[in-house]
Amino acid sequence: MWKLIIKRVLLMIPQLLLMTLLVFWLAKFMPGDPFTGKFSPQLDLNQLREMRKAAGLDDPWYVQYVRWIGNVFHGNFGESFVMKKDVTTLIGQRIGNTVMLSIFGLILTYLIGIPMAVAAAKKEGKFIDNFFLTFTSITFGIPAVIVYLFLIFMFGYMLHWFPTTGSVSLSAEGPIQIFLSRIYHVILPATAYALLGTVGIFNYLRVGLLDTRNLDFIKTARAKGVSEKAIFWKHNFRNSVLPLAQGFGYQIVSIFGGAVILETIFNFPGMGQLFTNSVTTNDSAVITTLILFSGFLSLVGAMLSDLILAWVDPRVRIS
Amino acid sequence: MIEGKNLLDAKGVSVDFRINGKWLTALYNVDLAVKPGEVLALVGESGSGKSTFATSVIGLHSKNQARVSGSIVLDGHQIIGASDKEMQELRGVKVGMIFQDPLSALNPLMKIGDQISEAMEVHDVYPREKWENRTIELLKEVGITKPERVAKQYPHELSGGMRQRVMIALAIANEPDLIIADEPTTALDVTIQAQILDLIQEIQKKKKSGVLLITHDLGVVAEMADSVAVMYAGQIVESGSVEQVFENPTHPYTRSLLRANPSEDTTGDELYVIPGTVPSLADMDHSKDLFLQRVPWLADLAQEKVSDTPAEIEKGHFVRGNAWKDFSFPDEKTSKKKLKKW
Repeated sequence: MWKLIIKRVLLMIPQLLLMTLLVFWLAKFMPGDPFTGKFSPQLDLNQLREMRKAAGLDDPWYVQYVRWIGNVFHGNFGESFVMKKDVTTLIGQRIGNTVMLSIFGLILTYLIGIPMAVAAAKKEGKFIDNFFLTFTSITFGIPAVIVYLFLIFMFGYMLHWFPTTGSVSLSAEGPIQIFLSRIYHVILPATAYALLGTVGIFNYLRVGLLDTRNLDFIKTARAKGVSEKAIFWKHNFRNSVLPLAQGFGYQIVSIFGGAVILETIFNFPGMGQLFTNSVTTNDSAVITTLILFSGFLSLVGAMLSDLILAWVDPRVRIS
Repeated sequence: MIEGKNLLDAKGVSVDFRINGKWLTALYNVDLAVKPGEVLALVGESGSGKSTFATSVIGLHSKNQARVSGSIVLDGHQIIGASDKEMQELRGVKVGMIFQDPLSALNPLMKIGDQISEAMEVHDVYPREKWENRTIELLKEVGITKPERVAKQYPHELSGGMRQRVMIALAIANEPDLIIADEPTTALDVTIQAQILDLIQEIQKKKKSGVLLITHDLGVVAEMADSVAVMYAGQIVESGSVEQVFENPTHPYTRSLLRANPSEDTTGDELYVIPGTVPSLADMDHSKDLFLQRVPWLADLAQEKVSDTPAEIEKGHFVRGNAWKDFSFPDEKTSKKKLKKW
């Protein structure tokens, strides 16, 4: 297992390099540069050229790349020219919110999706199965935006059960109150995300349970005299849940991707909202950093998936 | 062998499967008995209903997809119509099953030792403190040389032969009176097949258990079985002791099977091929002798109705239908004498 972990981590190095190159080029292709914002009738073009030169923007791309990557490794991601703050500070303020939203979203997704799949598989073809199948088809078909807006309208404006904006109440005092207030703010967006996210988990697990049910080793267990309940949990469920365990790593990534729309609509100050804001204001340093971050997360997610699979499946672990 | 009292007594067993909303008969009016300590071989080609019968004995047909009727009494317990709970208590204790493909029949995520001890866990035949020791003992018993190590391994780490040994250990964990071996060597390497059969035979002799051996290998039957039942299209066409059936094969199907089997006597000759295939379930009219459809020169007999009660041509040797009286191969050079080799 240790060998596999080391191997997998080492494999990430070339992947990371390739990714930084791609992100760097992408950033270069974006129109404008950090000085575009300073452009005004009072500005002397020569002065601008001087500034560009001083910032190293006239150097060959590989020099710029090495300088940039060096800065990245030192945690220096540049400065947002819109918000006039370090990108590191900007992200630092928001990453906690997004992580909290992600964790709650993920937990809820599994908490809703797994029992749904189990109930549906146990009653295949019956009402509950058809109901969940229809439900997931609908949530899969409706654009996320509409569901989010509906939930805000329903539980925010109409029923006043949950706050519709922000990540913490301004009147909260003391660490406990602040923490509780943050949870309170995260419930609605996390539930909204989970409602839409269950479709994948539900379908994977339901089909897995139905397929595994007919495999020979289930017959063996039955021939041993194992009870149906034990067969279901110990043999069927345990084997069917493997793809979910593997998908866990990717889920983490996808929730960050999903956060872009989710946080924007719920006006939730996380990294997704930061991304939307910086794209609309063309804040290149922030965009680059966020893309880099989500790319890094994908690599970590993929690695996590591989490691989780190896951990739960002896056929991968011991070959 | 105790005369009279049968370990397994199946009478008039029929199984219907629901296929596309229609009920089709896959097994029709099967009578079979296994005495304690006896090896009964059930032979027939693929699709003849051998496994369907075995699955009925262990009560593993899905209630929605299959309808089982008749009577199957296993050591005094009626299996047809028994509740799930009753069946769970019988399975593993009264009857153990060895499946065809040991790779798919073992749970890929469970250690070998856990899979064997699970068989003891679900019954109270052995107390908890004995499970671990007995698991190792069982592995030793089925000829695994490093049982402690194998107990901690997963199925994919073992060879096919080892896996089948594990399956056998699993089936005999609670010392069942009846072992059902459903083509136990089909999925194995030829060189391993003999070893596994020897092992089954050795265990059967030691434990004096009854064995229902399902196979299409006539050589295996001759070597291992005490009695044999030949199945065709869901019915038993001939049954008797191995000597009776092999020395005096009577039903056209038995004779064709034996003739189609290569032996020393037929070296260099063209092997007999039974024309045609087993009819599909929808085309099975069990009131007739279905095999006659595949005997072109007896086509007129194929339409005749046949009694459900087989004829006893010698004590304990039963043959279905009357066609055997008229049956001979067109080139009857290969008379019964030559077939006697089997």
